Amino acid sequence: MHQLTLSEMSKMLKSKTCSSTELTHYFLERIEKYDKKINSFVTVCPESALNAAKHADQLLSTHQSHHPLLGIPIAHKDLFSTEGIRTSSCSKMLAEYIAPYDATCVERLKTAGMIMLGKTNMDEFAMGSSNETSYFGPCYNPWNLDHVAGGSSGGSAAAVAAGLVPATTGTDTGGSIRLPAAYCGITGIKPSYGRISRWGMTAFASSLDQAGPMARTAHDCALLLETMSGHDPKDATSLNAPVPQYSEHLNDPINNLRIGLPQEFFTKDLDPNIQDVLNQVIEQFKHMGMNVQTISLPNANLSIPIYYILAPAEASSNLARFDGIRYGYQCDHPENIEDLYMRTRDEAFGDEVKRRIIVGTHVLASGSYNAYYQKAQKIRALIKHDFDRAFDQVDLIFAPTSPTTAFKVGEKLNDPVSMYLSDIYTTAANLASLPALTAPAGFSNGLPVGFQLIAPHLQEQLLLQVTHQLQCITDAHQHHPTLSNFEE
Amino acid sequence: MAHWDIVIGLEVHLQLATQSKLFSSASTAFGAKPNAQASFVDLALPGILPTLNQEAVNMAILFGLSINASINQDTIFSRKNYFYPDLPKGYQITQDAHPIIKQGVLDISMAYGAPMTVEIVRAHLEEDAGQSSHDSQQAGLSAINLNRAGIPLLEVVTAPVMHSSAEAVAFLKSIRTLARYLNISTGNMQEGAMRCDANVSVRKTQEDPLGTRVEIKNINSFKFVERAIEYEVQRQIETLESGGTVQQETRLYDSKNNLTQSMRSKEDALDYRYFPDPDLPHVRIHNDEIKALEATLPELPQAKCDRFLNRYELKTEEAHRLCIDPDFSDFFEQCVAQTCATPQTVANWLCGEYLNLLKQKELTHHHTPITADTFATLLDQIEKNMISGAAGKVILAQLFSSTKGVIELIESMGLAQISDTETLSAMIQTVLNNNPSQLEAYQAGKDKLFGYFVGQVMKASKGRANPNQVNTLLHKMLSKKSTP
Repeated sequence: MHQLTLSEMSKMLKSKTCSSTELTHYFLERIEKYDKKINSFVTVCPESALNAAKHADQLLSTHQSHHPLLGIPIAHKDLFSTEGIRTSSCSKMLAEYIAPYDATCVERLKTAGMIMLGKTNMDEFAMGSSNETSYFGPCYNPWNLDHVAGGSSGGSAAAVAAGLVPATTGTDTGGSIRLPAAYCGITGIKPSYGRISRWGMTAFASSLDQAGPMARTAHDCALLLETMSGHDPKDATSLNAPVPQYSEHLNDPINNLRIGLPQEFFTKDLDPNIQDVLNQVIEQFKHMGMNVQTISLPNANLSIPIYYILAPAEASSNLARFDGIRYGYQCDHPENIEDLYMRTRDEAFGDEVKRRIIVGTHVLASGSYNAYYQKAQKIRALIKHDFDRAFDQVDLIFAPTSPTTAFKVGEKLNDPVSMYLSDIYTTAANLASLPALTAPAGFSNGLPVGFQLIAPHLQEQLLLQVTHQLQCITDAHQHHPTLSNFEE
Repeated sequence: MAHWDIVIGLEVHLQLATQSKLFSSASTAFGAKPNAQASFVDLALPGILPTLNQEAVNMAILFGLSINASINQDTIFSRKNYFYPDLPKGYQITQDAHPIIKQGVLDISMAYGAPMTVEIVRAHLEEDAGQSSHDSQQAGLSAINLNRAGIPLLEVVTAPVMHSSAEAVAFLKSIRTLARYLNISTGNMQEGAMRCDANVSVRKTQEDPLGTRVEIKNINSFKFVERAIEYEVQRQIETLESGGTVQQETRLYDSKNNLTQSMRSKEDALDYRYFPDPDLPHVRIHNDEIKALEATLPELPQAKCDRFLNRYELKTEEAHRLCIDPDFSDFFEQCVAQTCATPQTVANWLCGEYLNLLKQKELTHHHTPITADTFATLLDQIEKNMISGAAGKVILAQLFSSTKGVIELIESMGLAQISDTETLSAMIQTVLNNNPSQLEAYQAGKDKLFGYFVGQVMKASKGRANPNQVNTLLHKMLSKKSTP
């Protein structure tokens, strides 16, 4: 049952083959059984989930038409505010913080009738590429527990891959949906900036943060995305543009689509085994009648340095509110206000968070603002411009999601720069505010390999359409890790 | 002491009278229970986002239009980062490089008493902080009230163009007047709705470059602005004349001891790490919006004053005193429309006896229990000789506390004027009979005694006799007596 897609589950619920309560029990049991080793959930809410499932079952039995997601379980990354439920961002700072309100996208999925099973593991405040900076410990890759799940939305990716929940939400600031989705062999989409409201998402880097769905297939992502998206008056940066019914247009014809391969992304930095797997996808695209050509994104190689100036700058300001005064962790017996600030933040933030606050504070200081922050903004505009020019030539851009498959736990934890380079292919889409998707391409040494597609602004439809039609004729997305030895 | 040129620039914070806060839907009403008006946004919970209050933007534009400033049609909000317990987000949303209002001029002639304008360099929108209090019941604990956090402020910055504390105070009074006309702020300094920082420097002559400036903070009344500037000017002059140099620094005004104390030097200045707030898109202001707001601009203070001078032919002093407050000048016009008294008489009563009574009772016109209708009735009674002017003053005082109307008060207090010829003649006769020697002296040519008789009649009537009629009758009766 845990290998079914959302629409298959929806059919079962409608035909009364199983109830939402049964479905919820089933997944809760799988979490109980397998998650001790994977550590993808940081909070499980059986009671509220079963109550919601009971309510969904009532609606299913009394109403003729209902939302296709009604009664289906989901889990949210732990930085989405969930009313009455701990929302920790996997930081000691918020380890006991219970949000008093729902994030807009949580609320929208709740209104559709989805059953929230719990909150998923992540890098602390979404800062990391391996899910190892979590206060609650790393999330392990269900394909091989010696390897990381990827980050920052590692819990969300691993939980779906292990069949502990059929779908999750994640957030993507520099690749935090795409990287773990690729490492765990699932499909995930980071929509255009502003497509999904940020209200209720603990902010990391406000101009880059975007929520998105993570699931098995492009079809599942389409169902979730059309439910989560749309203008929200509570988020001034949310887009006031109509939301297409993505799931209804997945089979629309895509003949003669032009796909561009950025030459800057296919270099010696890319693991040759991954290159081979990606080549097979490219062949499939050609087979589907698409026109594949090489393009250039001349400034894309600046994405990582630019990202690691802009994201920490915004983060240093966004995280200033964690001062130990109104909520969250507070140090014991502060001597005065300075001591309260210093010890609270020293004791409750992890090393990676501190590193980024220090970098961000430095690049915004009056003496370095022009040389770093302002220059980075100019280069960000150049990167956007590169994409604009590329999209004059092609309809979609094809790229690797990551230069390697999931690396080993602990391998890069003490080498921040090497960790940062995991996002070498993903940050450009965030900097350019563009929609980007990752989906399974195949395997290398038993670990999943993902491919990435990047589309023009608000062309999420195209990403989902192409991926869906590929998934109809290939099976890279239909493999499942063996969990038998995870039981204790 | 040698002559010194004083240079003053002001930064004025006006609390805007919007219904809700600058970036949240919480109420801005004054005086609620602590933290009752702090929303999730004001508390800076994780995941909250600011949304801009258009009402505040409109108020800023109105202000800009009223000082002939340019409205920045692509304005942005920035974050000013610093830690303080009553600053929940750890940053204040304000405007840095691209303020909504640039380059305007405020006419301060009315408050200054002579023609004078002050150049305004910029005005920008920002959110207020909360309030900390350290006089908690429990020792070592401070209390934080976030009701004020997020209330919109318009920070108005002048050029360094004022040269005396009197000009500075006149500027503050003028900006308060304008804010009240535009209905964008009460401008009440006691309630913190208007706050002022002053930048002060001195130099030998106007031709010299500007001296080192000192910023004075914490001055919360007109009187303290005057005293703080004067103290600081004196301190700087004494420092320079004794061979010292003025340090660029921020000083706090201590109103108890009337002095300024160093708060932080230039070296200790905080680096606020300003950067554009990524949560708020650029604010684009279209010509149509500006035109629509321009159409709602009320008559401005100077224009109203000019109209009062021309239409009502008031004396300048009264016109100024009336027009400094839009409600007071409206009250005047309502009175004028309803009474047969002349506009100047109305103005004399309002600016004289009425303001004196308000002052005695420690009230402002905004708290007056007297309506224009009542005031007009009172003036009519005087004008029609139903009561004397003296009785009018007594009744006006009574109106502050009484629920009775003017006519009722005249009756119950027995203040109706005596204009009946027979009664007055009898009173005059009694006075003349009781003062034979004065009468004799008057008839011998001591004309000055006429006033004495009038006084005696007024005294006998307890002020109720109609003085004009007493004059006429007394004249008649005395001339009869002098011709045997």
